[in-house]
Amino acid sequence: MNEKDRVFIKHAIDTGLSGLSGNPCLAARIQASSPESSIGFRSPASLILALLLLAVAVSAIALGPSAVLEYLFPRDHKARDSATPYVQKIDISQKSQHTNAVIKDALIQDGRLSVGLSLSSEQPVFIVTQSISLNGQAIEVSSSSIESQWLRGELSTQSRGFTLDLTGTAFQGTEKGTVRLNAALLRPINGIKQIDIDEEDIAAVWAQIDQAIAEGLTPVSSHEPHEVLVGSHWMRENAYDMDSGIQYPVGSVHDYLTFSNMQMMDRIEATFTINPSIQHPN
Amino acid sequence: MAQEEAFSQLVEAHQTSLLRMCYLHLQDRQDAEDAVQETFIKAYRSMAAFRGESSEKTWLMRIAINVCRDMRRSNWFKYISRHVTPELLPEEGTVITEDTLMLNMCIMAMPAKWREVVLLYYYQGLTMTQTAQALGLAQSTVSSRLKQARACLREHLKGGYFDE
Repeated sequence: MNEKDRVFIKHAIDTGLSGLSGNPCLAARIQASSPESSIGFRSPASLILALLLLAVAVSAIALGPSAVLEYLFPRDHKARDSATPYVQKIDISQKSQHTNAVIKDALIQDGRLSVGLSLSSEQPVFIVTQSISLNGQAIEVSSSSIESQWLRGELSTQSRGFTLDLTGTAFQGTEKGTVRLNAALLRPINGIKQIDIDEEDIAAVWAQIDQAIAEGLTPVSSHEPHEVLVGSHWMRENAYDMDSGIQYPVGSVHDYLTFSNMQMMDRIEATFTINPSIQHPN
Repeated sequence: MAQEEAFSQLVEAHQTSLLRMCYLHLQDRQDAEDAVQETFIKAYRSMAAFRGESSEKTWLMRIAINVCRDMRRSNWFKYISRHVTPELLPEEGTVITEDTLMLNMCIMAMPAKWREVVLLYYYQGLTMTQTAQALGLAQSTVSSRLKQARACLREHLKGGYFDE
């Protein structure tokens, strides 16, 4: 590690990204929009922008937030506006003893079907998707925010969802698509133990995980999103190389119940239909 | 006014390198711009509380890395990372050598843990101590990750600079 390497790497990055430069107005803009600022809006452009944003916010509230668009484009308002006319409303609600799930809406775009939903629970639960099928067939999930994640309380400010890859399916030629979602909600039997999985001593980390399990606790990563960990017994049973580094594959419900001291609390089982002919062309 | 002047100087000194670092980390231009703005907003709000226990640059880099980590966990990032091939963004007329291209691609492809130390230590020029402070890690951890990252760079740049 020497100065020559540093010069080479810096030059390569700065050359490769020489078209990426800072905004000369950034500092002024931040200072102007800060609540600590006593000057307020410094320019007519800022005021116009603020009014435009207010108008967009008001119209968005009037229409109601789209869960699938919030899930797909949390910061890209242009993409959201473009996709809005193609969003399909679903509005199916499932309320069980401890949780409330609402499948809100869906969007078909670019060979993928995305579904937006909101979830709330009275106490922290760990959601694990068991199966998602389309017209009776299991389908590949491109991405998901309801897979092996914690839910805590009301999530009205954060829409969740999942995206299915429609490549190779017969969905496009059908009159309707029936989606079935099965998910399990788990919770620790006796409580959790947080473990720093970034420690360099891999053997020590495994020892901590196994110790937690031996004590009847559920080991979780101390780093967000606090994924639930499985013990070394699972790794050996599934022929993972313990020396190459820590691997935390997403386990099945069975794995979490068997190897992580968790128990089943609730299930989500939802069926809804989608119109294949309504697709965002972009 | 002194704080405002100091903030303007902070932004001017670090904005461009921060933007390029965030782009390599997030692999999306808009996300990188958002991350830089978010970083400086957080820095502006906490400037008065900055105690100088680390250097100003280390403090700023720590904020930036945490912002990038938060964004990487977002749903949008998971969606885009599967479907978009990140590209270099050279200025028009700039000649890109193969070494330059391969090195940037290698940095973008390596695990996030290694990328963080490479970008802070090599690109931002922080010392080992400062890199460890910015990442909240032990120096031995930083050293180990730099070693692994360098081995990765050497593997991908065989026949080029790192093979010399």
